[in-house]
Amino acid sequence: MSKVVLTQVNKGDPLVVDKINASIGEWNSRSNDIDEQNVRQEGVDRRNIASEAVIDSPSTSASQIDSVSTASAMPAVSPTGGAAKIPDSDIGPFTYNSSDQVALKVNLSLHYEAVGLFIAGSGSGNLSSSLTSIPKWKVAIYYKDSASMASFAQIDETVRTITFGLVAIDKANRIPLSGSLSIAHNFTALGSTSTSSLSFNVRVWQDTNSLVLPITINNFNFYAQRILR
Amino acid sequence: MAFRYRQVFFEDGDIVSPKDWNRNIAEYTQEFNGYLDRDNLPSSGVTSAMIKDEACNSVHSFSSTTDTTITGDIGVWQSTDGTTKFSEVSFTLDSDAMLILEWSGTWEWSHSFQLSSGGIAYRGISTTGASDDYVEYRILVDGIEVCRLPKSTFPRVCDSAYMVGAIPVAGGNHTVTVQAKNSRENDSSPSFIDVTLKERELFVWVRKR
Repeated sequence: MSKVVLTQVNKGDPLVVDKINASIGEWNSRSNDIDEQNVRQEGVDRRNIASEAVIDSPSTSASQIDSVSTASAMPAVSPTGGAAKIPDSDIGPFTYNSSDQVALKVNLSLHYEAVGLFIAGSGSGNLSSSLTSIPKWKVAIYYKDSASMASFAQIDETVRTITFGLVAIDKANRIPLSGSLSIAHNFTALGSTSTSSLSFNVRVWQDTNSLVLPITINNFNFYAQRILR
Repeated sequence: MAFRYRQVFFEDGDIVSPKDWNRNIAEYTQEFNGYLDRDNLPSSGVTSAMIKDEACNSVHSFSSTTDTTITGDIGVWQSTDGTTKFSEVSFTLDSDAMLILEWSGTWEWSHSFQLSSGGIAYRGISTTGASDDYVEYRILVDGIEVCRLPKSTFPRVCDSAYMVGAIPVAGGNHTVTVQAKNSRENDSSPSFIDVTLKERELFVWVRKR
């Protein structure tokens, strides 16, 4: 609290320097310590607030928002050997400070397409009769702090599973799998409390099945944004 | 507006009264002690470090990787399987705000994999009554529905979805809940199939200023 307390000069008092300096001293010391007690309620408006003081915004090189997007199809991926990064899905680096920001919000939206599944015949999408489970694709957001991590790590809460239960009799009757997928994530996974080298990307992999079934990602948008105050 | 002016002008030859001196000083002091406003602050003078934490925004989130079950029941909305909540956050606001609500999650229908030469692989698809089974989700704020997802039907054995909504709220205690319904258009045999709700996250962005 930064309240100025005046030393009153009363009628008949000798005008000694101490009384004058006491008031001036109050002004000098308190003016360096202004807080919410000094400002009228709702007295500050947008003109007073510096750009990106509350939420990072795009369009400047200093901003802490980064995004990637595409309106065209990305190459089909067949990640049977582990999680494969969706091409060009890297964003960052971001500054993360758990004690000096409200949140780091990560958003992903994409459209996917895969061939339909069928039983009789041959070609992509043909299921072997020996299969014991339907092929699944999984998508997840990964993160890495370049200062302390050698490789990207999965954010477990962001794993999303895709599959389609309609299996056709033959290739001619198969029904393609397509749909959209979106995620909003509050990033808190970092072991340390702060870093300035945090990056994200998106990975996809095929789960529980050795059958290679490519999936294509379309209309991809991925961004992260710091909420500061 | 916080422009203040001295009350008394001193001229050469005046006998200065302490009362006049005090009035002038008090004029500025009163303003400084609680009435400064936009006119006293420079353009873009307030930086992030000067603003109190969560003065303009706060975030509340719920995320989980623990499986929970949405049991089949005609028309019944559920928010927990009795042990594990689907997604829920509670918080207290000291002022009015706009809540922006986002939820995404992934789920899987319980099923028996039956790859046969006959064609369709999954239970239900070739069995009368189960092919119209669906699961749907909605977000409620203090019991009021804000947004709802379209129905996702049984043939999408593993699926995911995302929904977003916004609602103004007053200061006080609030609870944001995600509910799910595993239902069908006609309550006929066979028996319902459980849905396992898997990875999920509820993001509540409180916009205050």
